[in-house]
Amino acid sequence: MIHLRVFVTGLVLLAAPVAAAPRDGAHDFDFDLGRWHTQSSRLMHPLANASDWVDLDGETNVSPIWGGKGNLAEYKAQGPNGPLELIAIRLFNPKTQQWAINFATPGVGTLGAQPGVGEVRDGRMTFYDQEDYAGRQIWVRFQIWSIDADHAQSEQAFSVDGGKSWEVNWINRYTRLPA
Amino acid sequence: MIRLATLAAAAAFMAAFPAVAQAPRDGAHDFDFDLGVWKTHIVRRLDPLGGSGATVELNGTVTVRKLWDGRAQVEEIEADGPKGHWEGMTVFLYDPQAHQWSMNFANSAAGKFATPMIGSFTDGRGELIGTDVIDGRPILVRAVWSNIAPATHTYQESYSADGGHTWQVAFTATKTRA
Repeated sequence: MIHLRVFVTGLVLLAAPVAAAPRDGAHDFDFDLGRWHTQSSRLMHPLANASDWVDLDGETNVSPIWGGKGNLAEYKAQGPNGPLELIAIRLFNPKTQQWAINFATPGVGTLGAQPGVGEVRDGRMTFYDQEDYAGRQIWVRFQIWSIDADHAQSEQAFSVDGGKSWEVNWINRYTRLPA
Repeated sequence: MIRLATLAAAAAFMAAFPAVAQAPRDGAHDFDFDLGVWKTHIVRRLDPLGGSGATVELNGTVTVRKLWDGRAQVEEIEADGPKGHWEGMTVFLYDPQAHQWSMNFANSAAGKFATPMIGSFTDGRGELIGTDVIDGRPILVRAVWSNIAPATHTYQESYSADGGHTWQVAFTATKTRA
């Protein structure tokens, strides 16, 4: 029985990449639409062996663009250093079946030069890009996933070793609010 | 002659970026006129760098909403033309340090942003400049908002393949409040 299960699992694994290719990812972000109470924790000094986490309390409003093939997330929170606002624009590329995520804040006033690009991996929308951080090139990973219909979570992490290890520096825990 | 050409190029450069010569003013609300829902009539030139003047016309709806009390805006464009349905979106962001707006455009077929266009408003006319690549050639792109009245305005894009010496109108949208 155990052998049979392992064999079946093996077959599923072999079949999965082939079966996954044609699936339509245009609705992979649908779970995120709506208003969310957002409890955030930010590591104020990433990549510095620091543990100076700061908690923020806020709200995220995610609205569809083009009927869901894109969406706009507006985040506003209060923390010990004052208010923090940002937007994230997520756009679906129907040719590559990938999503791109771009961030902007009112203080900077330009769109982040490098979008994170990705898709669903192991149940999480997972985006990667390479960015300059304090003069160094690092890898950035952003993940967002549904826990259940009323809860979701996202995390940002940096890697300085080409993805072998990751330091999480930003965690958002979402609880759905009435529309 | 070479010196003269260099001077002319420098003059063209200065003319293309007038904000450099001016004291910065707060332009955070310069795009407020564009908020709301608009009917759009689009005339797009099919071969903007070539000799053909052939155009196509599209009709659609533009919806613009504000973020951050107007310092950012999101525009959604839906239009129908001879090639079918077309969807685009633009994120406008105000840079409070540079006193400039950036315009980040994406269409739903590509799902990613084009190179941003950047600029500002002078005397009720908005001009943003950027670059693009058409048929492998880098070009300059100029976007202009003009004839701005409460219920109507014009948005026009022009292309230059010679560093800004000559411009061809590529795209004109006449917007009327819905």
